[in-house]
Parts: sequence; structure tokens; C-alpha cells
Amino acid sequence: MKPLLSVKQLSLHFAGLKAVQDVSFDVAAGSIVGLIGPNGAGKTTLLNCLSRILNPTCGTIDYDGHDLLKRPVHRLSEIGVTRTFQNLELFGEGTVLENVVVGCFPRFRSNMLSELLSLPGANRARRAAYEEARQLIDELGLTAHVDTVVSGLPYGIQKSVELARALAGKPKLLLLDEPAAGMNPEESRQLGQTIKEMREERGITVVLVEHDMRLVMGICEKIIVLVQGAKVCEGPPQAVRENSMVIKAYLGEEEAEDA
Amino acid sequence: MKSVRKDRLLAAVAMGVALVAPAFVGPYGHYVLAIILIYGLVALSLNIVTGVGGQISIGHAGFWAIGAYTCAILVTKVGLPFLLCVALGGAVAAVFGLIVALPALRVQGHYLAIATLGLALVVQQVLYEWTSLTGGRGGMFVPRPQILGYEFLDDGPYYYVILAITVFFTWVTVNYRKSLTGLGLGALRMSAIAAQCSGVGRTYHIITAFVLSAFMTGVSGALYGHLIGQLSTDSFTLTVSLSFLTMVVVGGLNSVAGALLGGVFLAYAPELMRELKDAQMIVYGGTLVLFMHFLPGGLASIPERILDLARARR
Repeated sequence: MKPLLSVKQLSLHFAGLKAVQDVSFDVAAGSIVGLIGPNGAGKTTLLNCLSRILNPTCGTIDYDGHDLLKRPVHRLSEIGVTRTFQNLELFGEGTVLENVVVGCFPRFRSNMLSELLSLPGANRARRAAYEEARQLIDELGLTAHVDTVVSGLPYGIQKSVELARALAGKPKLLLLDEPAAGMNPEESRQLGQTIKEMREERGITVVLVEHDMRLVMGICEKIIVLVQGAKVCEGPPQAVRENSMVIKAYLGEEEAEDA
Repeated sequence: MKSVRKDRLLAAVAMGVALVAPAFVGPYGHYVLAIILIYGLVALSLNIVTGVGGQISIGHAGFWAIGAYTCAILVTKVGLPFLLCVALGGAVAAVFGLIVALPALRVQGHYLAIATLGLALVVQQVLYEWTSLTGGRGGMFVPRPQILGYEFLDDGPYYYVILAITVFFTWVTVNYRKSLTGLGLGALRMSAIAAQCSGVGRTYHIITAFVLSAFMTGVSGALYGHLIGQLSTDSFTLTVSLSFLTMVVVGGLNSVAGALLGGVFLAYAPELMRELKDAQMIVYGGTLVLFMHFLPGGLASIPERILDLARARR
């Protein structure tokens, strides 16, 4: 079967620094893929290339028949690619509802003149967007906060709001940048559950960057290990765990700690 | 979103006041009332670009001048009907709004402020030098407005024309602020990256905001020219641009009511500061800083502030 996402020989160089070097991998539809590696390995940079925030120096990204590199960042959501951020990027002065509505954006646009004159078509589209956002907020258990301004909410809830906003784009491919950062082991376990449910119930393919090894090993079918911008290993959790290069570069200390 | 009913009540009261106010004041009062609305219209336009979009513009005196001169020239030299000329004044200003939006896509903050400032200065200079069209240093005479053969000789009746147009654009601004496009522009201000990843196109939103804003300011300028009866480039100086910015901050950047309050402020401020001449700039600048620091929500946030204080006391 053709993979949903296919990255080929992707490189990104900042002046002399090779942040991403010749990385290739495939992501099968319906899978959960983890990107791991030590700090500065280029994981977030790679994710930023996939979400078109950064322009790779060379290489190709093929997603569901689209050449992603031909699309500007704001036109990924409409083909089903959305993301969350390592350090929350919320619309701080907006309510939870407004934040999530922005996620619904591309599917409910109407022409600006009809919005300015409050024509029925534009009003209908806006109401439908709010309706859908409310529903999603209910599904994610955020109902109590729906009209709260997000900047005042606790960190954990803010992370859920960001996830809700990403889901509001009805993604086929969801990119998560350190979703478990700042979570305790119990919260992280729950997050793993949520991600699996997203895949099962909404058929979403997930690519995540994560440092929490228990989470990554627990939910990913495939793990890609980056070291200094290059892919050193790729495979199911067991194989990656046993790969000597990986142990040397990264997992060694981790494993020792666990034991 | 909060308390739609309270907003409606407030709007109804404001409308009532606006309708009966001329009955209680003389001819000069009519002029001041008209000026309040004309400034209010500019404040509404800045509410879109600066309030929602977070883009600082010191160039709005440029759009204002373009609207005023376009309308006056079309009325006097081409002889088109007044209301059509007002709309065309807005349209020409909107074209310049598009031109200013282009640097706004590339630069932010201080740099954008300087770019828009540049526009205001260039426009003023061109109007000053283009004597054959604008009368240059001598300025130009603008006739009283005429609609369907009726000539508005007094400011009282003309005030109602301006009121109708201001009410229309207040409605448009309210619609914009609650529309998905307006929401998208606000999202871009708060996190450009996240907004774009959610599908909000930066180019489209910033350009349309500048075009809409410039259009409204152009219309305001057109109405202004016909109110004061003569145009000279002195009416469109840097002080004017700065006073516009002060007006929206004093009124309240993030509310429509604040924009209209800003109009009231700006209509009365020059009366109080007439003796100061060029030193007015300092007062505007000082007021801007003080409000940003101590009352960032502007006059419109005072009731809320008092409520908060009262709650804290309890």
C-alpha cells in the first residue's frame, strides 16, 4: 500500500549547520510514528519542514498525492495536515471556543463581502463552524472551559485546547511536537491512550516528536531515530531498543536509568 | 460574545443620544457632533487594523487626505454626485491601503510604523506640490454637499447624513469583528505561526484588513472635506496621524464602543489644546504612553475596571 507520507532525501542547512541531513522515511496510513533523538538532533526542525514552517534546502515530501513543498503553510490544513507545538502556541486572549473555531477555519470560509454585510450564507457558515467547535470541545471534555480565556487556564488544559484546535482541522495526518512535555507519568499514560483513540476513532495518522520513552515505545508502530540531523535507525520499538547505534547515541543512559 | 443584550442596549442608547443631540446644541455644536462621527469613523478603521490586527499604522492621515481630495476633486472638477464621490474617495484610499499592506507583510512593529508614516508624508507632499489639481499651498474650496438636488447648507442636516454612514460602518465593523475573517486576523496577531498552521492565510487577511480600513478612513476624509468647506495640506499633517493613533488607544483598542469614544476624545482635545500649537504632538504622545501603561483597555474599559475594583473591595 502506498504510504500516506513519504519523505525523500530531505535536508535543511542553516548556513554551515546541517540541521537535517538526507533524511528519508515513509509513514503508513493509520500508523503512529515516533521521531526520537537527543536534544539538537533536528526532530523539531524536521517536523517544521513537514508542516511547511521551514523550507528544506533539498528533498521531497509527498503526502497523499500532494507535493507538500509546493504548498504554503496555511494551505496544509485544507488537505488534512495539522499540528501542535512544543511551546504552546495558543491565541491567548481568545476563549477556548474561539481557539478551536480557528482550527475549523478552512472548511467554513465565506467571501468577505458577505461577512461584512452579514449575509445569510456567511452567518450560516459561521454558526456551523462554532457548532462543530463546541461539539469537539465536548468530546474532549473541555466543556467547562468553553468560554474561558485560554491564557488563564492551567498548562495541561491549554495543551488539550491546542490538541482540540489541531483536531478541528479534521486532519488525516497529525503532527505532535512533544505532546507529553511537562506531564507527569500518569498524565503521559493518558495522553498515550488519547492518541491511540484518535487513531482508532478518527482514523488519524500521527507523527510525534517525544522525549518520553515510555510513551513512544508504548504507542508507536515505528520509531525513527535522528542523531545530529541524520537518521541512524528506523523500525518497530523492539528493534530500535536493541539497535547498538541507538543505544550508543541515545538510549544507553535512558535504559540504565530504567533498570 | 459576552452579554449580547447589554451591547444591544448600549447601542440603542448611543443611537438615541446621537439622534436627539443636535436639538440641544447650536450650529457650532452641530459641527462638533459631525466631527465626532468623522473621527469615530477613522477610529473604527484603526480598530480593524490596529485593534484586531495588531498592525500599527501612523499613515491613516494619508488615507484620510486621499479620500478628502479625491472626493472634492471629483465633485468640483468632474461634477459627479456627492455620495458617489464619497464612495470613490474611499475606493481610491483603499487602493493605497493595498499598497501599504505590502510592507506590512514583510515588516512589523516599529518598521511598519515608519513605513506607514512614510506614506502619510509622501501623500502630504504630493498634494502640496500638485498645485493644478489640489490648489497646492493655497488649498481648495469644497462646496456644500448635495444629495438629489438638496443642498445641505447647514451642518445640522449634514450631521444626519454622516450619522447614517457612520452607523452603517459601525455595523460593518461589528460584523467584521465577529466574522471568521476577523477572528483569523486576531489569531494572526496572537500567534502568526499557529494561525497559519490552522489555515489562516496571512497575506489575504492583512491585505483585506488594510484595504477595508483605508476605505473607511477615505470615506471619513471625504465627509470631512465637505464639512469644513476647504482643504489644505495643513489638515493632514503628522500630528493628525499621531492624534488618530492616540484616539484609538484612549478610546480602547479592542472594542467598537472604544473607537467611538475615541472620536469624542479627538473632537474635544484640540479645543482644549489650541494654545499649544505644535506642542500638541507632545501631549498626544504623552497621553498615548500614559494610557498604554495605566489603562491599556482605554476609556471603554473603565466600567469593567470599576467593577473589578468593587469586587476586590468585597
